[in-house]
Amino acid sequence: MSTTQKPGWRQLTPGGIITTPGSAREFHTGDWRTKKPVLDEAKCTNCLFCWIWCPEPAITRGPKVVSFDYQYCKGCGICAVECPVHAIKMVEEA
Amino acid sequence: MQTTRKSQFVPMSGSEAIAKAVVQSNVDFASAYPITPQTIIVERLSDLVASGQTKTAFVNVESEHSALSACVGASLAGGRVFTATSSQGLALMHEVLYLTSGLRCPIVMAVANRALSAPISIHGDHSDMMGSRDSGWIQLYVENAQEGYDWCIQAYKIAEDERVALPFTVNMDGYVITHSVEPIALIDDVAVSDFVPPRQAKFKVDVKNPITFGTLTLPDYYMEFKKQQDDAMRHVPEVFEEVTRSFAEVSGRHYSSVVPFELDDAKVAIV
Repeated sequence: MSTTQKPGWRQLTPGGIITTPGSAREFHTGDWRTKKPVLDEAKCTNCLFCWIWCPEPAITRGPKVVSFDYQYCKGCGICAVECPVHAIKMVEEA
Repeated sequence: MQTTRKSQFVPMSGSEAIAKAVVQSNVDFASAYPITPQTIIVERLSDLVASGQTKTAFVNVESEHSALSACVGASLAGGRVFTATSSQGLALMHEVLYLTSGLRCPIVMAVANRALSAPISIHGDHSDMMGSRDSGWIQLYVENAQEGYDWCIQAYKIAEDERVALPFTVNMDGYVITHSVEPIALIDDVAVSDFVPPRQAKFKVDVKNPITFGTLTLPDYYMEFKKQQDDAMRHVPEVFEEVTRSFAEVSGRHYSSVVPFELDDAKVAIV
């Protein structure tokens, strides 16, 4: 839990209206994760199945292999299940 | 209620008076599902829309839950919105009542107060609105059709005030007021329109300026918004005084939050 002072009812917009579009970007849903996906780059064929299946999207495409955006990856594990060459393992968060 | 000005009296039932007030009050949108004894409000309003006597858009729906949901959407789009219901209809709206007040939509709803079933009854009783007592709506109970007409107009002025921004119910006893014909002192169209000019919403759904309504709120923020609603409700008495004073200038009828009765020589008063 953050210790910084959050805005109170006097500062907030009525009913919680968000007046700036795209502010969901500031909500780092990666905090929810209990397990994180880890890639075995030697096995990855860059087929992009994980990129298609990721509901976030938290898979970043690369020239040879994919990588994960841990700021938004919730650790659902769909990528690990769908990877046809078993290149993704879900590892307990430290 | 004091009548100080000479007016043209027109015979109208409480329901007809409400419908007349709606078409005079620059209402952009109305949606309602008919239920006894509120039906005549919806019928008369539909007549006035169908005959082109108002620019209010009327949307037919399949239930009260949908009626109020459509009203919330129209209100968030910046429109002035009206609906009406009664008894089981109000109960079916229950979920959406909290959305309306929580999203701070200044919708005005006429409630033809009727008993809740069972045993089924279509007659006057406040159990419908009492069941919705804590839903964050302002509640006002009128004594006759004239008050219903006057309060339907004043309600918008209070509900839409920036210090308030809460929905408003104008409650009238089913049948006793909704169906009784009384002489109604109407205010002319221009005077009502000047009193409640078209709504200017501070925040609204607008594709050119996208904003988000109805966001997820976790426990660290939820009560902050409930506190906002509570604070808004506490501003109602001061806005009530301002609005009723300015309404008296337009109509010659002044409403007080407290009406003294036989107090001139009283030693003790009960409020």
